[in-house]
Amino acid sequence: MTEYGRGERDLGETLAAGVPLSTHERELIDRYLADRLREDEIFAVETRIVSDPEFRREVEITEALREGLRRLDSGDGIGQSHVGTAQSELRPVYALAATIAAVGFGVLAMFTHDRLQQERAALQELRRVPLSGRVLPTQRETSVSFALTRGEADAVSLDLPDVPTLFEMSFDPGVEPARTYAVQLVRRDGDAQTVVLSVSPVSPDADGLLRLSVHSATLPAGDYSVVLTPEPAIGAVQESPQPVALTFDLRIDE
Amino acid sequence: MPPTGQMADEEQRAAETASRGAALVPAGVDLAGLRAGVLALLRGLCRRNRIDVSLADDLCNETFCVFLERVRHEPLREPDKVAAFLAQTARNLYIAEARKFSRRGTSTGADELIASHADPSLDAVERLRQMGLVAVVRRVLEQMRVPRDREILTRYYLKDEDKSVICKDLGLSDEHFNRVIDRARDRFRALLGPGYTSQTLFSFVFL
Repeated sequence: MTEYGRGERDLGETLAAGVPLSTHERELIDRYLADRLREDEIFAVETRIVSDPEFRREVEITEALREGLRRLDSGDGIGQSHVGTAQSELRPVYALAATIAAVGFGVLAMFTHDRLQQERAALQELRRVPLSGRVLPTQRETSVSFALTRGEADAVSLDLPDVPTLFEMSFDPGVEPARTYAVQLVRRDGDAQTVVLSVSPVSPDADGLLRLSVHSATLPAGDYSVVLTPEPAIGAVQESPQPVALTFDLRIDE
Repeated sequence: MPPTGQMADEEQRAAETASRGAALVPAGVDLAGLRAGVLALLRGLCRRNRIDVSLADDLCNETFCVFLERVRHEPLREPDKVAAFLAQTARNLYIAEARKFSRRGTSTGADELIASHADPSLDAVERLRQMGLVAVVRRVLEQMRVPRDREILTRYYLKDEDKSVICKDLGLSDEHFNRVIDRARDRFRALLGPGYTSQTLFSFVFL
């Protein structure tokens, strides 16, 4: 039997209860469940399981995720359908993903086109409300999706609505989005550029999209650019000297 | 989800443990909370080593018997070390029990093989619960749009490959790897929903 009062040693001291889990702690849980810890590490983790409900929950979540993957693999064989290190194994997956993406973009384009047409028709029926400089309560929303594949010549065009409208914009920064971005909405008037909105940091949502809501009162007719600049993580070693900013064009028509 | 009666029994046992130990330990020591922790630890050990999970309840009670007997003879001087003592005692009792289990010769070492030939008509409730978990994990994988991200997740959690090996193979930075894993875990947690508890999670998954 263990000696009463044995401490958690230095490792245990880093596992202070009540503090959100760090990457180190998460990896400790991963290695605990994979039976890859030393005795003293096991002791520290199990002490934390006993004393810290949040840590315990993370262990259980991780165990459930591992178990779910194992069951999925034994049932459907995800090793066959999703994973493969050899290029030949990856190609069908990429091909399938590309097909799905192409179909998805097509459906999205049709949906967006129909929706804009419907909204344009609806706007003509609504009474005219003069725009003012202040933000009014939003009556309607317009969703606009920006894909990375859109070319410079393909600026999204929107009609300036007659009623206060919240433009819900979503931007697809690509398959490997940065953790956070600085987002700037810039109005272009010839050579002059005016920053209308500057937000930082903005994180991609669970679907990897950056979402920005802008009230129509702040967007008079004209040409705009939305610039997404990836922000380096705090403490991270900069891999490339200059993060590549993504630019999406938007035109608001009268 | 475990039967209501079972949960009520557990709560009652936790309350009994707390009341028995109340006279022996300082007021700041949450014996009921620690009991929940010890039980979770033991259940996890049993689950992962394919030993009957109901054994965890007995081992948990035994752990607290050892603890209370100990503090009866030797007053508690360092309350912050109680969790460490309980964890170590629980593990030692578990190891002793696992050895007995092994000596009984009831384990063939081919549990996976045996499980793969299970009669699908048996224990339909359990199969439904397992299918629920599989569906959640499948959703997580479907939402990972980059094939390489799925590869990272499965190599790390399914094949237990070392992080450094995966990063080297795929030319990834530590930061990128962590981002993929954290995002997958967040999605898994979100898909499970906010209302789950350890009780519901593991009744959902394993019981």
